[in-house]
Amino acid sequence: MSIDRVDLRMPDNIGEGVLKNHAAIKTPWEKLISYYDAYEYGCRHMAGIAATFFETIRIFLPDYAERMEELCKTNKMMMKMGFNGGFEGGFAAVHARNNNIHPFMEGGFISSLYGDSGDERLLMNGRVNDFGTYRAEKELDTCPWDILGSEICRISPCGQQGIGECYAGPKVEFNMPEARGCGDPQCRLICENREKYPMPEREIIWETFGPLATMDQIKVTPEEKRYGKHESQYFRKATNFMCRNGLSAEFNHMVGWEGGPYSNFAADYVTYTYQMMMRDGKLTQEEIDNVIECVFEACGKMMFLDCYAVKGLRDYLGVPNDIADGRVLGAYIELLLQIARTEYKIIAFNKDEVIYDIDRVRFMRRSPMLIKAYNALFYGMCKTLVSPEWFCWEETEGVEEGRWRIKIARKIDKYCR
Amino acid sequence: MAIEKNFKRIYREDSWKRADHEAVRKTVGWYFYTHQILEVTGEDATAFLEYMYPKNIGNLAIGRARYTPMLNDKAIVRDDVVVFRLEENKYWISTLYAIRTIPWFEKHKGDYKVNVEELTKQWIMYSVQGPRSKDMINDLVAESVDGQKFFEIRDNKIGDIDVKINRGGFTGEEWGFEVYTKKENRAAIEEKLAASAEKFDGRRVTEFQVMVLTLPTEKGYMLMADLEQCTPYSVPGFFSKGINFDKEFVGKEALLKVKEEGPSHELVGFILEDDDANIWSRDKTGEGAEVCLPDGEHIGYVSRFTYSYNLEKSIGFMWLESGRVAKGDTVIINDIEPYKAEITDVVFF
Repeated sequence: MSIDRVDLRMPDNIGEGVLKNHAAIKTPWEKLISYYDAYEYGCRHMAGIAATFFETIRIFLPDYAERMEELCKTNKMMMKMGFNGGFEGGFAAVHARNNNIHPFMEGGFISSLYGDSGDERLLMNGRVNDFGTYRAEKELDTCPWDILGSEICRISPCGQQGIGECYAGPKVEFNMPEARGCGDPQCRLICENREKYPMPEREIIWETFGPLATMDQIKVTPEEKRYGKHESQYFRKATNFMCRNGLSAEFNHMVGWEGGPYSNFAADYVTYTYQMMMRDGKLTQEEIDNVIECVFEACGKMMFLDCYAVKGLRDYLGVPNDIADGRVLGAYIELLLQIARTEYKIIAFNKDEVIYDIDRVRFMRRSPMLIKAYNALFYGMCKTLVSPEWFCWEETEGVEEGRWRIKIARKIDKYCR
Repeated sequence: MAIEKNFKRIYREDSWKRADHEAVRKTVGWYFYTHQILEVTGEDATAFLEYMYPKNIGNLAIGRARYTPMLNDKAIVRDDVVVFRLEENKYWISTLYAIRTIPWFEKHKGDYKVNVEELTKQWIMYSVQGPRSKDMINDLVAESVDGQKFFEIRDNKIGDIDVKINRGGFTGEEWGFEVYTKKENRAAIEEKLAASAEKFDGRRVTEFQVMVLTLPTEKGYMLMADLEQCTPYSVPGFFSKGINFDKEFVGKEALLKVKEEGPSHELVGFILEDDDANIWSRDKTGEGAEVCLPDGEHIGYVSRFTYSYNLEKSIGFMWLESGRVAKGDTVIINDIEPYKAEITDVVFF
């Protein structure tokens, strides 16, 4: 590694104390992206990644019912595995403690608490309208994941159901009668106990939009009183800029960021399902990799096909006018790495090449498919954001285990995609 | 799916909640009510707890208990607990905020010769509350609880099961008991409680909203959701009674200042004109609905909202700027529509 390969970039400590310290993402050209914007961008970006993963599974499972069956079955089971044991289990016990679930609280309604604090991290801003052993209701005014379509809105109640079934006490059924992913103005998650509120038994796992027994108990917050996308508890003065659930469990911004902009939320719904389908012999790793590469490459190419998209990104990142090479894409990658709070080394950053050496494990969020997806996405982006003469690829030779080395440079490849 | 604003029956017409609530008020209700238990032992246990809590601990007789807040350095309430003195140097602390209390204890342990162990996974607790609770407990135990004082804990037996019986509860009932036993006795003790309750027209209470909202609120019992950002002087009644400024305790300096200058905010009770509302409150999540004076000035938030089956009214608590309202005043709660509320004591009957 030679420092000469990195064009001059001001060290982080230069200027320390001159201005107040504000948390921000910093581009290679000192353009600061505020905490607010980075948080929101991070969530929306991950929603975009998740949306693209959902496109991949639509290719494998074009039939809606079949797809939903696989997705809901898998993700309910994953939640049940994670929370198996309730208060006694390791992972579930930690979560119960973090959410300050009281030892006397029994029943599936407890599951709502996990959803509630998770929503705030994901900027799914809203409020709990009811929280009891036999009924709970949460309404969400915003959802960065509302571009994914209806699948996620059916899977989420299944996941909640899976968690709820891990707890002793009265059982409840979760439904989402309104869902922004389906075009409704709000999302609404309702759990009902069927002993108290009897209804016909749910026969299809993914039929999670109702019907409900307690329609007459729903509370709808009028539009003018709903929260905007920047108004999660983490950004509200009235909640002291932290998230606090009804049991007074407090969540600081580190918890928020790790569960929000850093999370792999919803993409993991698909990757878990792929893992199960591979286990069951329904798909192979090669088939999945190929579809992920195709779809993410196409998305990357489309992102900057239009000149205004390139101009917009350059402005967002503060790219100097005379720079139109791999550094533009490099700056974008750095933005994502900083949002993911992932350590990276800049091996090269000049007009001829850009190379990053990245903490692979941190970035992939326990999902190797995410690295596969980003390699394809960056490759596709490179073609339209920089030029077809430029490529972005993962270098593997001589790279330490646990590292992810990305190179952006010109090359000629007669077999490229 | 078309959804209309309605939300009737959440409390008023909910016969299940009403039955749970009325069992406690009229006969006897029993319920699983296990809290977190911290056992504090060691030769400095008393001195340590005296320092951690603003109320007296050292003058507790063995077998007696005391309710006390725990403060941070700014005198803000971070937990409210019941401290039981089981032996000379052995205490149980009943809390629901071990997540805060344990690190706070660790931070202040210093050179105190004290050991803190959490027993939550070993012990369970049942609350038996209501006018006939004494009869029900006496029906079960080897030693009568007739002479047992409030906040007195005694060893006893139910059949061949070892139990500790504390007279107390979170319902405001004159007669109420807490039955502590080892976790492995759960099935056996539940069977005995259920059988005995039947004899006294009792009922097992299972609704969380009754255990923590309807019953305690009627009698002015606070949750941490109400106490967030409060000092003890923000809370009327017994909450600040018995704070001992003659000893050292965490938060003393800040609390003295609050005592002299008065708290910036206060908790008050309210009764809603519309008894079929569903108001957003801090016990659900976030900050709760805004409270305004009739001229529109914002003065606080709703910390608790529930229903009084005894008054047949929607009631709750508000966290307001101090001195802005008096009992009988009307304020406006800005929820999905403006609701008129009358300021009351925090104890409703």
